[in-house]
Amino acid sequence: MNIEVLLFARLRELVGHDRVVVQRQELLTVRDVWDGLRAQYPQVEGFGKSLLVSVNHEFAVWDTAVKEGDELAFFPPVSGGEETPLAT
Amino acid sequence: VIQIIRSPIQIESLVNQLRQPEDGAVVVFDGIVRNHSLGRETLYLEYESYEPMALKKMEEIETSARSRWPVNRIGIVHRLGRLEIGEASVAIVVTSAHRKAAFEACQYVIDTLKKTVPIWKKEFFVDGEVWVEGEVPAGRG
Repeated sequence: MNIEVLLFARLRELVGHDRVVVQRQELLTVRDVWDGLRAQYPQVEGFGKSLLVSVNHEFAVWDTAVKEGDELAFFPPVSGGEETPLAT
Repeated sequence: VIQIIRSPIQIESLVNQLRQPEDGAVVVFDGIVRNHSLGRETLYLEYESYEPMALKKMEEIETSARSRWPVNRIGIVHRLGRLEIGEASVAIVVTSAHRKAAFEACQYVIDTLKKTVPIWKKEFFVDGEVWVEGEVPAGRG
């Protein structure tokens, strides 16, 4: 299964792309997509401590279910923000 | 009025567009690029956004503000791209019959926007650049 992932701000610069396709045999949750991204782009290792994620434009968590066709985005906390990042 | 734009924010035309005869109060918040950050001299800023989600979150903030205060019109405009010192990055306009609701709703809108709308800024200094990221709450991460 392929899933397209959008990246923003410092995470986008770290990876060098604003969208990437994560390929996994089986994708179930946000955590699986992040693991796939980490496997393809090891430089994002460590970023998980201050990470936000959205699925279809809503804030999501590690266990949020993901299916093909969903719009997934990973990004840093917003600039003025206190939105609780994903706990690792 | 909810907008994300790449040109200078026209605050006066936004106010004129929103105000109506029944308004007794118009509160305007202008968020400005300042010339320093943590003791360093800022040259300029760049803003980027996850636009579809940002617009959705801005609409949710408007709905939420309307449910809490008796306001008439709400305008939220954020600018993206490169901004120079002194330029407005965000403008909030709230109109209401009486000032208390407009003041409180305006503060709520800008405070909530800064926490939940996916917009990021990068500060450029003489000797480097840095992404400004929100705090990781204590005990998390």
